[in-house]
Amino acid sequence: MTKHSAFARALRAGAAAVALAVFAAAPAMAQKVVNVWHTEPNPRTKAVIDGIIADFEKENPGVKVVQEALAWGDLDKKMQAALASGAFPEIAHGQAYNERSLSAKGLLRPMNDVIASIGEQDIFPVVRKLNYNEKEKTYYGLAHAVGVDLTIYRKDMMREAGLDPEKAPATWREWIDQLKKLTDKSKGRYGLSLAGPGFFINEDIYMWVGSNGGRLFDEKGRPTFTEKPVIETLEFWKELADCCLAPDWLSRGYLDTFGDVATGKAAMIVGWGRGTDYFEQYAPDAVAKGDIGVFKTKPVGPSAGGKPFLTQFDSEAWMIFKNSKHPEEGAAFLKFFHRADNYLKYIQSVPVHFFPVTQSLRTDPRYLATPAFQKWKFWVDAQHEVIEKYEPKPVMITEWKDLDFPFIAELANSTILVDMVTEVTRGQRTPVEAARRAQQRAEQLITQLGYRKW
Amino acid sequence: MNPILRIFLERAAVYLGAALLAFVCGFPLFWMALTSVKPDREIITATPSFWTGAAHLDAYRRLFDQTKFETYFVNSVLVAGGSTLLTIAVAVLAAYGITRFRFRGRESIATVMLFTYMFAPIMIVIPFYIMMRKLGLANSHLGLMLSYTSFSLPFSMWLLRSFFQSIPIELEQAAMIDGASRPQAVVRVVVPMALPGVIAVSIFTFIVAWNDYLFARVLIGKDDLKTLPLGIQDLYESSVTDWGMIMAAGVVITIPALAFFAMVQRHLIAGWGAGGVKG
Amino acid sequence: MATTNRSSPLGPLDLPRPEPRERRVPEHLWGYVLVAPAVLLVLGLILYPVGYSFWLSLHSKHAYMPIETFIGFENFVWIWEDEDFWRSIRLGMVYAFGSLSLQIVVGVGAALLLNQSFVGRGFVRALALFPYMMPTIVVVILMRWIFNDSYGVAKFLIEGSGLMARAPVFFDPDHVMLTMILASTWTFFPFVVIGVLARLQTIDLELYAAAKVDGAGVLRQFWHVTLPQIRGVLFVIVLLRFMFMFTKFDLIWLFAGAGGLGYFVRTLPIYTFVKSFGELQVGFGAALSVIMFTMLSAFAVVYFRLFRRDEHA
Repeated sequence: MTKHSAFARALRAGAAAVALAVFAAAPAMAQKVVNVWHTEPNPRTKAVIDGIIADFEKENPGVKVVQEALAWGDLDKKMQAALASGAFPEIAHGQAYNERSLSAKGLLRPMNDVIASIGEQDIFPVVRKLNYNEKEKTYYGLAHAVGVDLTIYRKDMMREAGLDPEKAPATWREWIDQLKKLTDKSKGRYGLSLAGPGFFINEDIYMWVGSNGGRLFDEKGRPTFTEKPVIETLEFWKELADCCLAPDWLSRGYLDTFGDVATGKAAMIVGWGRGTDYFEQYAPDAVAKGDIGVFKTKPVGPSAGGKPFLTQFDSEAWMIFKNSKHPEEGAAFLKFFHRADNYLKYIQSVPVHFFPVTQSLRTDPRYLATPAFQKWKFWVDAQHEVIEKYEPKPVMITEWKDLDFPFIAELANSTILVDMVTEVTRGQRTPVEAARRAQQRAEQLITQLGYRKW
Repeated sequence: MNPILRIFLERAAVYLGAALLAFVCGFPLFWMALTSVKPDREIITATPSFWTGAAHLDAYRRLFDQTKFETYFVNSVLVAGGSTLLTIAVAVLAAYGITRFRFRGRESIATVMLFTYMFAPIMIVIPFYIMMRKLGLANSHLGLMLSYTSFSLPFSMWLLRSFFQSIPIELEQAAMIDGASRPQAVVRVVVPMALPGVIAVSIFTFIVAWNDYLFARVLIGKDDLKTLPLGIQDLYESSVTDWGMIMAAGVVITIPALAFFAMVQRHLIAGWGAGGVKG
Repeated sequence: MATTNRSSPLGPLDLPRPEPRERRVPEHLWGYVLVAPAVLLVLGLILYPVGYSFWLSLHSKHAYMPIETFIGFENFVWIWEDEDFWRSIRLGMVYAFGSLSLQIVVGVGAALLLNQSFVGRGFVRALALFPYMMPTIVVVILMRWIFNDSYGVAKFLIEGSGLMARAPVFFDPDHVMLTMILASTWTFFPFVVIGVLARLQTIDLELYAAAKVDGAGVLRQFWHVTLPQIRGVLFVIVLLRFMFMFTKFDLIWLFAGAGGLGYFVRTLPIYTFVKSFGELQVGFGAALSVIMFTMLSAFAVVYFRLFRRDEHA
């Protein structure tokens, strides 16, 4: 074999590779493609969605649905890229604050028909409140499922520390006292584990400010970081970090915190029902003994003044992009997706975390017979109670009106609030100094973006 | 000092150093492989064991059954392979053109090329995405291949140029006197002599493409088009971090690469070295 | 024909075998034709985006909303007054110099070792070059796993071997930079090994023999024979690696992210990414890239000057 022909073969192989790539990139022709972006890369959920898609395609020949599961951290980035280029997917998950700013820009297709097909009154009131645009009397989104952030803890560790494992702390003071008793630094055990990446610090700061009777913005959207409830929250956080958090808490990923509870490194965390999988895999003994618990309420801060606690609503919404290629087919798919049979399958793919948005499904015997509920019913019930009684709100939103500010995404993805907390807990700045700096940075950001209204 | 003792000490030092180096480089690999076959309960524990009696391949089964790992793997091979071939083709042509023909701007082209080697992807990723979008190449492997090719080209050209310079023109001339056409002379004489350089360039490009995270993250959205780094990051961040499965994924990526690397490392050193020193 | 062909060193040899059927393309055009694909790719996909970044840096531009205003050098004024920018430069310098010096020390040491002959050298050599092949995401996940404070094997090994009573918390704010520098050294030092080892293999062994005759010990041999020989390659390696480390994005991003722990390792590339893709201020981000670009170019020019002068002295 001569070198020449070897070279020619290599060239042919290269050409074939390029051709293959081009082919792979080309969308299937002559079919209406509905692209669906969502943030549930869990293999089980993806498989369920694939099943629903297959059934939908059978009913709707000529339409092809393509799901894309994104790590949630990438959703915003990808959305920006799509917005920058004008190449929208038909359907995407979005944070509540994105839903509002996108609909304000006229990019979303109204979803009243989808809501009607599900039955508007069947949807939990707080979910309606979240997705309903009062001014326009229109729904521009619908939460795919909801979940509530709760305090998760180890009952056995509570008992060991001489605490009543069923008694939820009512105030921050009580909570800190509990956590101190649960902390034994010489053994590498801590009362609490918090996730350190920026997104989670945003989550905790807005929930705690809200649980302290506070807010993040005034009526005109000017940040209110130097107000007393925020300063007190920072002082509380500093105290927590000094007494009851591991020194590397900032590096703990969200899932690491579940690992901490599973291994007994931490007695408490705040988190979601998704964690049940983690416990079953890594702490089967604790699960079997019923040592994993959740509190139905969260503690409030000193300035709460009788207001209830604020906790987070995991409630990414389905949105349909008006300027995508096949928005109508997209709407048809969502209607199909939310049919009770299909929706049930979806909810059951992450049963404890995915709380259904419809009240009928919540009481559906098939739902109640979900095998995982034998062990975890208390967790679902606790979420239900919060959803009915305490108006959980999505991330960064301390008051419903905040949903309408156009800069929440930018602020959430900046590091301003996160740096404020980091600087305080590290003792690099006092709460007042750190808050003042964050206030100044946030005002500058909003000004630079052209959204300043005060 | 007693010369025998001295030689003994020297040898001892060499072996000690080699052992240390092998440990530092090899232990993480070993640990990854071990974690991938341990039962779950032995994974998350404060007192890890350095062997397991209950090794099993469940993590690998989960990896292939529950994820699109195979797709990611094939995509990575395709993209890295395609970029490598494209880079070699373009760089060989250019290096040959620059070393064998005199034309205006020849030197400045070489200099500018070298200069662009210093650009980091982070500096251009925003405008790059917008351009790819306009060309309709976002969400395509071709777009990725083009970006890896253009990022590997400067170094590859620079390296191949010094190789071609070191190959005496007389050899080509001799081949042509013997009746070969110029392309034949290039393929039969020049390329084989520059083979270490070509191998070095291919490995360099392959690594760039195989490891890249930034371009892939920004350009690729479709799950079916994801390359391994994206696929693994998403597995890592997806609902339940399955350490066994993640480590299994690391092993599957690592083993073929290790084998490949072991095969060509000799050429690699000769190639990069020669290019690097002379440039 | 002979005259046109003179422009090519190969030209005259074409004379004995002209191909009359083909219209001859002038030789210098062939040069352009061969170089064209490479030039077009680099021009279109690297240089043009760089130019576009310069243009963007003079604008206030939102990442996707249609907000685009020409604001002259205002972005640069903001940057100058921006405490976080200066912090990112400081952190970037610590990271770049820290990981660069370790890579050089470990890399040169490993290259010297691998240039010795010993049983199993091929194996150790393959193993030592391997970390460079590993995708960054795998390196990061593996390091997070090994250096984990709860169930990491590093902690267990350090405490078990009695090296330290309590292992440092690798991922706390005090150590994260160090941990990241160590991880970067681990995965990037093979680059240094490859370059240096190749050069070592070409050193004339008689130089060592001569040095030995003069009674030079190992250290003096290294200083007087080896070092002068690898100086040239080290020069190139230091330049390249510094630039790569100073602009490193993926490893740091995947290691620590934007906020929280990322606060302590937020180098200029990370800060640029947060500004562009987090705060969505693409103009501001582009201005940061322009600064990065300018700094690196200045560094390269000064570095080359110094080296040239050194060379001629």
